[in-house]
Amino acid sequence: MARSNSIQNYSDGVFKTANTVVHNLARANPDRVAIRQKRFGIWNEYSWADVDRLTKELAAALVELGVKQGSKVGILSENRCEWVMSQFAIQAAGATVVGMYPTSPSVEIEHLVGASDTEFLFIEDQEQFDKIVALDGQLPILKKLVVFDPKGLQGESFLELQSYADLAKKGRELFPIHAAEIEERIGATKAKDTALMVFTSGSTGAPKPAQISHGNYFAAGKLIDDFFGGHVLQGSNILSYLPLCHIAEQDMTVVNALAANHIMNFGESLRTITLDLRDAAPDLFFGVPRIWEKMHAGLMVQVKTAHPIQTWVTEMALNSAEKRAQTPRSKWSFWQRARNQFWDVLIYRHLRSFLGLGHVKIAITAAAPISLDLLTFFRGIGVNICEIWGMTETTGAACMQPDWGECEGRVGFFPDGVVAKIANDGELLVKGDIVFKGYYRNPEATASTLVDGWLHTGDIAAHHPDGSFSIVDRKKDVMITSAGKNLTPSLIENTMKASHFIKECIVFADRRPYPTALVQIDFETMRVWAEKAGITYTTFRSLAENPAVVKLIDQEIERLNQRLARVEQIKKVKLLTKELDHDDGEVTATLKVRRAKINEAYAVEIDALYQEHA
Amino acid sequence: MLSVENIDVVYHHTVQALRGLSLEVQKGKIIALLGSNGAGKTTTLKTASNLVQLENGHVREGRVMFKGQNIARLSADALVHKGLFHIREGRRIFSELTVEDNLMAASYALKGRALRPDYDKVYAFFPRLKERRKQVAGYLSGGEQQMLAFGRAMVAQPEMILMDEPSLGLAPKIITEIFDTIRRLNTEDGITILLVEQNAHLAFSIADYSYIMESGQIVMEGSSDKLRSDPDVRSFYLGVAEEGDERESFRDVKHYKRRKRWLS
Repeated sequence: MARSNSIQNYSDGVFKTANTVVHNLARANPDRVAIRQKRFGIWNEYSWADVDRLTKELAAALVELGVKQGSKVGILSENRCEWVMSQFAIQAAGATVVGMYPTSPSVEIEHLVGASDTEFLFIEDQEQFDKIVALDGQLPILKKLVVFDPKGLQGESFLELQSYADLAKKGRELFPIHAAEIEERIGATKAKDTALMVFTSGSTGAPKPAQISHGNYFAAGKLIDDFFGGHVLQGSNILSYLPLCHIAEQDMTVVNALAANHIMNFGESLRTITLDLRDAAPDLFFGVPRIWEKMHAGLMVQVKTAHPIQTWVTEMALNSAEKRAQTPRSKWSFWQRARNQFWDVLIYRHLRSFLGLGHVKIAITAAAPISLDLLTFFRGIGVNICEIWGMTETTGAACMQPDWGECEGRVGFFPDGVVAKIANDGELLVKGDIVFKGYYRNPEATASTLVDGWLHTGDIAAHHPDGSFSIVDRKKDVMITSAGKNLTPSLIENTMKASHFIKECIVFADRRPYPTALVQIDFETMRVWAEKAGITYTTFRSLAENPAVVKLIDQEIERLNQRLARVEQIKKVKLLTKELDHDDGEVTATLKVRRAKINEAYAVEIDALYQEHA
Repeated sequence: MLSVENIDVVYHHTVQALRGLSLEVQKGKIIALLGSNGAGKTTTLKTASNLVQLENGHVREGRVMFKGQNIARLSADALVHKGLFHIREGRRIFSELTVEDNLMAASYALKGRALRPDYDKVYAFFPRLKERRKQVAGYLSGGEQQMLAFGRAMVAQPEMILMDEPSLGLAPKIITEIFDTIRRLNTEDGITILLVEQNAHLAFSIADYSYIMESGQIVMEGSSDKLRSDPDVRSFYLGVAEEGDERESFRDVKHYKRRKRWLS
C-alpha cells in the first residue's frame, strides 16, 4: 500500500507508543480527520492535531489529579470519543487503562475495580455513578471519579466527582506547567509496560484482568497490514459500536486507526446503531456472530413479510446464491459470474445497503463460533465476510481467513510474526509479540496459561493440509457422556443455531447418558411464523409455551440432528420461557453463555429432561 | 367474549400501529389495557369496534372475534346492534343536543333487538343527568359529559363495553365516581369491560386481569395482583422507586431509565 514517507506509524517496525504515533500522525497531517462523534444528529470532527493536543492537555490534568506512572485508571462507559481521548491521555500520563463494561451490574463492577486496583475511574453518566455510589465503602482503593456526561450530577461530590469538561479545562490551563513531565513520561514508556488491562469474558469464572503491553499493542498494529493490506485504504471509515473495553473492538477501532490512519466514528448511542451504520457507511465492519444472526433474522423477516412478488424474487435470488456457494468464488464459471452479476444488480446490493453494509470491503466475524450457513448466506449476497480467531490474551486478532473465506480451515492462516502449533492433546498453542504479559496479580493463572513463552489458548484446534486452522471447541467445554463419548457442545449448538427459529441452544451431556438442550427461540422470526400459522400469543413466554411452537422446534431439532453423528444427536429439548440475560448472570457482557450458571439455575429443568426419557 | 388474535394494524399503509397483538376478554370480566402514549391502546379498541377503517387504518393480519364471529365483515353499527359498545376517548357526545336527546339517539342501538330504552335506569345511576336533562350537552361539565357518555352506553344495553380512558381530564373525586360506576355496570348488569387506562393504580384496583402494551405489542400480562408486585410495573407505571423510598424533589429524578425487561 502506498503511504507517504512523512507519516511514521506502526508499519516501519520500530517500537512506538500509541501517543508517539498520534503525535507523528498529527505532525504529518494535522487536518486529517481522526475521530467523528455524532451528537444530536450532527457529526463533529476531530483532527489528529486536535486529538494530540486534547489528550496531552487532559494528561496534564491527570498528573495534577495525582495519577502516577503505573497507576490504574478505569473507564466505565459506552463507546464515545471521550473513551479514546481518555485512553490516550491515561497512557500519556504513563498510567494503565482498565476497560470495564458499562452493562455490568454493581456487584460485577466491585470485582472489576478490586481485581485491577483501579484508583481513578472515568464513568459515563448518572447511571454508572449510581452503581458506584451503591458500592460505597466496598472500594477502598478507588480515589476519584470523572464523569463524561454530568447531567443530573451537579453538586455531587462523591469521590471528588468532577466532569470531563472541567477536567479538560483544567488541563488546558495546567498544560504549560506539566508539558515537560508528560513528554518525559511518554518517552519513558517501555514496550513491556502495561498499556491496557482487558478483562476476559468470564464464561467459566470471574473475569480476569489480562495485561496488554505497549509492545503487544504495537505488534497488533503491525499485523493489520497483513490482514487487510491493500483492501482497505487510509482514511477508511470504521464505526465503533461494540464495547471498547473488549479487545476486539480495541483492535478494530484504535489499533486500526493508529496503524492505517482510519477514521474512528462514534454514533449517537447503541440505540441508533442502524441509522449510524447507514450514515458512517464503514469500509471495514466487525460483528460478533450474534450481530450477524440478528441481521440475517431481521432481513428474513422483511423478506417474508414483503409483497408476495418481492418475496418470490428475493427467495429466487437467495436460492441462486446458495447453489453457487458450493464453488469457491475465484473458480466460478462465466455463467456463474453472470448470474451473480444479474442478481447483484437486482437484489443483492439492495440487501447490502439495507443492512448498512453497502460500502464494506471486508466484514469480520470473531469472538464466538458462527454457523457455516450464516457465512454462506452473507457471502452469497456479496458481503466479503471472513472469520478471525483471536483472544484477549493475543491482543485480539491472531489469524484470519483470506477473502471470501477461501481456505479449508474455518479461521484461516496465522500471519508472519505469529507462530502456532497444536499440542498433543489438541490444544492450540501460540507464540509471538502479540501474546500478552500475564494476568494482573494472578501468577497461578498466568503460569498455567503462559508456558515457556507459548500461550495455551484453551481452544482445541485442527490443522488443515493447506496450512489453515479450524477451532473445534473450548477445551473446558468438551463433554464426556456417561457412555464415555467425547462431545464438543459448540459443534452441536451451532448446528442447531442454523435454524432461524433457534437463537440460543445450550447442550448438556457431561456425565449424562445422551445430549439434551435448553433452547431459546428467536422471538422475531418465531412471531412471524406464529402469525402465519394463526397461533395466538402475547409475550415471549406465551409463545415459548405454545405446544405448536414446541412441536416446530422439535421438528427443527430432528431435521438438524441428521447433520450430526448418532451420539451427538439431541434427544430432548426444553424451551426457555425467558431470554438469557446479563443481569441474571446467565450470559457474560459479550453474551457468551455461562454454562456453570445455567447448570445451576436450570438444574430442575435439566434433570427433568433426563427423567422423562428414562 | 372478545378475542383479538395476532392483529397487525397499519395506518395509511405506512405507519404500523400494532404488531401481532393478541388478547382475550372473558365474559363478565373487567380487563385493563395499559401502556404509555402511542403504544397502540386506542388503536386496539378501534380495531375491535371496527372504527379503525374510518381513519384509514387497515388490519393486515390476524382477526378479531366477537362472540365467536369474525368482525371483519361487520360494520361498526352492526357491531353495536350485536352488543359491543365503544365509549371513545374524549366522550364524543352530541354537544348541540340536550342530554335527553343524546340518550334518545343512543336508543338507535336497540333497533331490531326487541328491547326498550330504559332512561330511568340511567337517571337513577346519575341523578345529576336527570337534573340537567333539558340542558344542551355541550354546556355540561367534563364529569357530567363522561356520565352522559356512560348513560348512552347503558341505553344501548350492550353485553360488552370498550372504554377509552374514562378518567381523562377529570377531577379525582369524579374519577372515583366514574370507577364506581364501572364496577357497578360489571357486577350489577354483568357487562364485560375492556378498559384502556393511563392510571395504573386505578386500573389495577378494578380489573381482574391486565395487559401491558408497548410499541404495538403486549409485553406483559397477568392478574392485577401479580402485575402490581412486579418490579418493572412498579417503577414504570406505578411510580414507585425500586427501594420504595420517597422522592423528595425533582432533582432526585433520574436521567436514565432502568432497562425494561418485562419478564412474565
